[in-house]
Amino acid sequence: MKNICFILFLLINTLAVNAQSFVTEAKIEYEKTVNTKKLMAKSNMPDAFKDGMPEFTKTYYDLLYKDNQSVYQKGRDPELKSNPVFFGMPADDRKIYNNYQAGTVTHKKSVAWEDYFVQDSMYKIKWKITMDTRTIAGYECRRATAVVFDSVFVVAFYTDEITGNGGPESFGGLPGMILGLVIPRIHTTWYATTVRKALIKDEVVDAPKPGKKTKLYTYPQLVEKVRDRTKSWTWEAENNHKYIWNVLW
Amino acid sequence: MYLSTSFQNQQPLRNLTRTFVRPSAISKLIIACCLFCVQFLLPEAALAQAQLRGQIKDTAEKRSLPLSAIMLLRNQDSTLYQHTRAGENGNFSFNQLTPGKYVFFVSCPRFVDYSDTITIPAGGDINLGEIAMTPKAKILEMAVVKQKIAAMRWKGDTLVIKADSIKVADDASVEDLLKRIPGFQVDKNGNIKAMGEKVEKVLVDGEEFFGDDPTIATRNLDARAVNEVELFDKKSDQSVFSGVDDGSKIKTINLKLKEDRKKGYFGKIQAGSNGKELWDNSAMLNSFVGKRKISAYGVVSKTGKTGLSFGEKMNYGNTGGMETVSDGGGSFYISGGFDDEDDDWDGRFSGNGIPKSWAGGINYNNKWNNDKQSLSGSYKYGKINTPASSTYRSQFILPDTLYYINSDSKNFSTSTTQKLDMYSTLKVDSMSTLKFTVSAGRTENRSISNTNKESLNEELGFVNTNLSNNSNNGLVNSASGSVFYSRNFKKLRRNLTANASFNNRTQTSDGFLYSITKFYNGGLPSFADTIDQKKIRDIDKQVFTAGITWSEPLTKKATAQISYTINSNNNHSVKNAYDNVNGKYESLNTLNSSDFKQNELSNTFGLGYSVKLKKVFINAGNNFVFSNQKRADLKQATSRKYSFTNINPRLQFRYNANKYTNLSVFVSGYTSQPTPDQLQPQQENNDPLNIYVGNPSLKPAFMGYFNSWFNKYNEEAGTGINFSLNGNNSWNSIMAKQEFDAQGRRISTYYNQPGGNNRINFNGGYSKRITKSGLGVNMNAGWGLTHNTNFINGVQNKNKTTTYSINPEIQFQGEDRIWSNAGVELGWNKSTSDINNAVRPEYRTNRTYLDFNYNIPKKFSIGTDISYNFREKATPNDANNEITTWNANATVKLGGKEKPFTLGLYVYDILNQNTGFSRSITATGINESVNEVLQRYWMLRLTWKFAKNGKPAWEN
Repeated sequence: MKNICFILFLLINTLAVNAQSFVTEAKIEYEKTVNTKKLMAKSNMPDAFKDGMPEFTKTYYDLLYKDNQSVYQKGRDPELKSNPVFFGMPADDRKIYNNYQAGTVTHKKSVAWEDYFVQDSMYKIKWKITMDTRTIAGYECRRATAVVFDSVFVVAFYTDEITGNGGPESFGGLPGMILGLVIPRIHTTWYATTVRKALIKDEVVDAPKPGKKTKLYTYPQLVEKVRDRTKSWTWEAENNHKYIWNVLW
Repeated sequence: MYLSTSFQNQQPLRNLTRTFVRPSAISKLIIACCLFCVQFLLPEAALAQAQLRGQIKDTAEKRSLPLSAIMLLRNQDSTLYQHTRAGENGNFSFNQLTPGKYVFFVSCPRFVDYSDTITIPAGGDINLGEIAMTPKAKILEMAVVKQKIAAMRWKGDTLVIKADSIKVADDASVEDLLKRIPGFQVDKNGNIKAMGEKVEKVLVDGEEFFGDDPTIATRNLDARAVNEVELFDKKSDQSVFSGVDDGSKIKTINLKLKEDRKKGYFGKIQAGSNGKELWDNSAMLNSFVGKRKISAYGVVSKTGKTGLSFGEKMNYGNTGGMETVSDGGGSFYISGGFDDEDDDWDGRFSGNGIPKSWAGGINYNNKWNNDKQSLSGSYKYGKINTPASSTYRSQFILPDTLYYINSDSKNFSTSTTQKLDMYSTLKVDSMSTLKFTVSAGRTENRSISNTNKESLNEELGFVNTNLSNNSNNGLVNSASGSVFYSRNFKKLRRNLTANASFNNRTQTSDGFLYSITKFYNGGLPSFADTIDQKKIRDIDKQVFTAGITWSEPLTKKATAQISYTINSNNNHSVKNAYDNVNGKYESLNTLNSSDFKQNELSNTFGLGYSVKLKKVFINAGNNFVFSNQKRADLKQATSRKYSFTNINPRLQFRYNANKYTNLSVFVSGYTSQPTPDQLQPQQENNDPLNIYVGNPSLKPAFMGYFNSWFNKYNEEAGTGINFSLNGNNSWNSIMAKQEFDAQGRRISTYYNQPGGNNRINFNGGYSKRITKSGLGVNMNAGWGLTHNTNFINGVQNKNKTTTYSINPEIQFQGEDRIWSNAGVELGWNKSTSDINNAVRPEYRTNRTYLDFNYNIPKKFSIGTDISYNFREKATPNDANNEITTWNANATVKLGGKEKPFTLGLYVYDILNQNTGFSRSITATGINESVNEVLQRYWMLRLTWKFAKNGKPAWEN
């Protein structure tokens, strides 16, 4: 009996492997790297400050994916302890939840220093698909590019092996999970470092819970809101549009 | 590489675009129009017109592939429109699609990507059926190098080869790359054969590159700049626009450059010399700004490597005077036509002599207005100086007698050619397109030659001797232009095309001929004939052609085509010869002077019918040409009119069993009228020992052709099989009866040969890549049979030549280090003739070759190639002929981290056996010739490759 069970188990296992080379459950860790020196190169900050900055700052985020839902949230702490908070923009308590079945997004994150809840369908990005590929975290990824907010060029590498249509931050909408994301304009990259094909006990995919009176925005509404709010920030007049970018990343 | 570029380039070139339409009913059309209007008013999502369904399957294991990613990309810019995953049975469906043109793209891990262009009509419910995916594992298994995209794959009708998967040396040109692709051959003149067919066009990124000379791209572009090599059949403009395949196609190679090379600039400078009399320098620069591309090249060489073919041969739409060539089996090569032999000099180095050449050019491509307008242009300049000498010996074996003809000649020629070409396309609207071409050329050439010739009888006594000195200064100016207009209609495959073109060519030359011919009788001089003349020629040629074609769909699968073309062809040729009288060339020699005017007006009516089923394509048609010719001899004040009817039936059948297996059969025939020269030849005295006699009673000849091919290619197993069988037969072919008179002159009289001239050839090839090791084998075999009938000294002579050949080859491409190929080509040749039964030349040939390249780690590499050529003696009193050619090179990469420099030492013909000697044997004689060729030499060559582009650093 034991043997039969074992054979059956093996059989089922093989069948499953054969039929299912796709990843439908995973924990993906993203390393976000900001080239701080380049980012700050043009700022009017004293040179002494600039010289003291580390060249790169790294932060980590996790994407938990199971049952056609995913959540993107703060991951492990960076190893570099001297990472100055001021420059580093450390991982915060943002939480971006995607339900691929329903095509909905619930996100909670700080945009222009204020927390906002968004409940909407996935942010629409007009991706251009290319034939270039590269391997990230052991997965062959295809390169796609897009221009968001009229002028920001974005490069994404997605793999069709992981079935979800999400990725780091609020990016998604490609036929597979984004494992690499590059935004040259802000000298920032997100690359998956590890992909674990199963979630463990404590890893739960859940949506951020808005309070009863919390206002829920759609993406366009939030963009408008942030635009309105930062319009008057004259000391940052040149950079006001960058707060709008925080809606996506 | 963006999909957009690849598909845009593809678009006009392949007929893969599947269009799905429902039976056209007016009501549906109205709905479609309404929806089309609505499209501008409503956001995308609100449109719910069309559906697309299908099922994704694995070809190898015949199972469905659930969860495959399926994308619809907008055709114009490759942006993602919609995507989905296949369901449990591999089924997928898209609903609410906006009508339009899309790229349908399926990806599945461990399978090769599938892509196809599809048009989704309004309200359509399209079922693509089963989409067969090919496992990548099998392809990767065979692939020798690590690569991101399979080395060879099919994209619709196009074979795509990933350039980086083929190993070449660091300083290799595209030509070196092509040579290494299985199924591709490049001969020493740069002519390319791919999958057994001649490649006639080389495009760069889908665009014209330096007009009609493919070697500018293949010899000057750096192999490493190429991302993919695409091979496909380019269809005529007319079939691309009408969507009706008229069966005409040109094998074309498209070199797609690496995406990072198309930003900024890249180029190559190469300098080589042996420190003394030989040099070989070249440079090429390509610059890209957006869609504007400018390329320039320059060559200064003395190694005969420069092909400089400027394609002077213009298309004159010659419906009337097709040239008749009978080849093989000891007959003489006759090419009729209005012009003289000196007309067809095409600027190409023929292989005799050691030329010095200077060449350069600039090429420009640009597109505007959403690619609706494009302009390409190129200018080329070339100068070539060729001093040459040759020796020619031939033996004529006739039943009653034996002759020897020996000649030695020295000549020098210099030629300067300039050519300007422009192409422009304008998409007037979504239905109609206009194309313009303009080109102009100018060639100046000068030549001097000195020839000594003697004819000897069986006892080696003189029959005649001839000394001639020839000099010639010529100038050819040509200009041409054309307009092509095409319009599609709402009804699919209904199409109108119209075109008009004009060619003008003027040729002037003046030169001197001095020739003394001495005739002997019984070994003693009997009389001499001296010619001392100045010759002035003036030849004008104008061709005007206009045509219109209408295609009309008869049913869903069948299309009819009617066409009408009018062609006017006007030639005027004045040739004056002036005798030397007291040192002055002023006395006109009326016998050797002529003034002919020829006007030809022809009307061509064409009918065509084609049926395109899922796997079968049939095309049948005929052209009727009604031609009126008037030929006036202005010197004699006589004129003659000829009027004739030509037919040109054709039948084509193609069967595509699947995308890797196809069979094609093509049968055609045409009437060929005697040329005016054959009817009443001009008196030419350039060669007093060769006299042509016209025949006014000549009848038209008819040529029939048969061609068939079969190709099968198995991507997974890496095997390829191809067969071809072709033949021709001619009826009433116009040939020349040869008579040798007592003075040793050859008198050729034109006549109709009823039959007995035909040829049949068979070729077969098989190639297999032996999995995993980078080892591959090729095998080619051929058989040919030629029958040829002619008259020599009033006796009919039937010749029969049989040839067999077999060529096994082995190739090896080891990891990154070693690549090599070796083979043996064995041939057997036999000919017989009625006229000389005693002599039955029969001989075997053997060519054994090996090339080997090794990249020593880091900087060094060595390479060598050796070829042994053997020809068995054909007759008992002949001698065996063997030559071994051995070349070798060693290179080193220099210059810091990037190593942009390659320094190489090349030694050619180490054994110094390249003598320029060649011999041909036929039933009626033996011909031997020795041409001046470059013998053993070495060369030190420095190559510098530079580029300013590359991927932006932030992406790494």
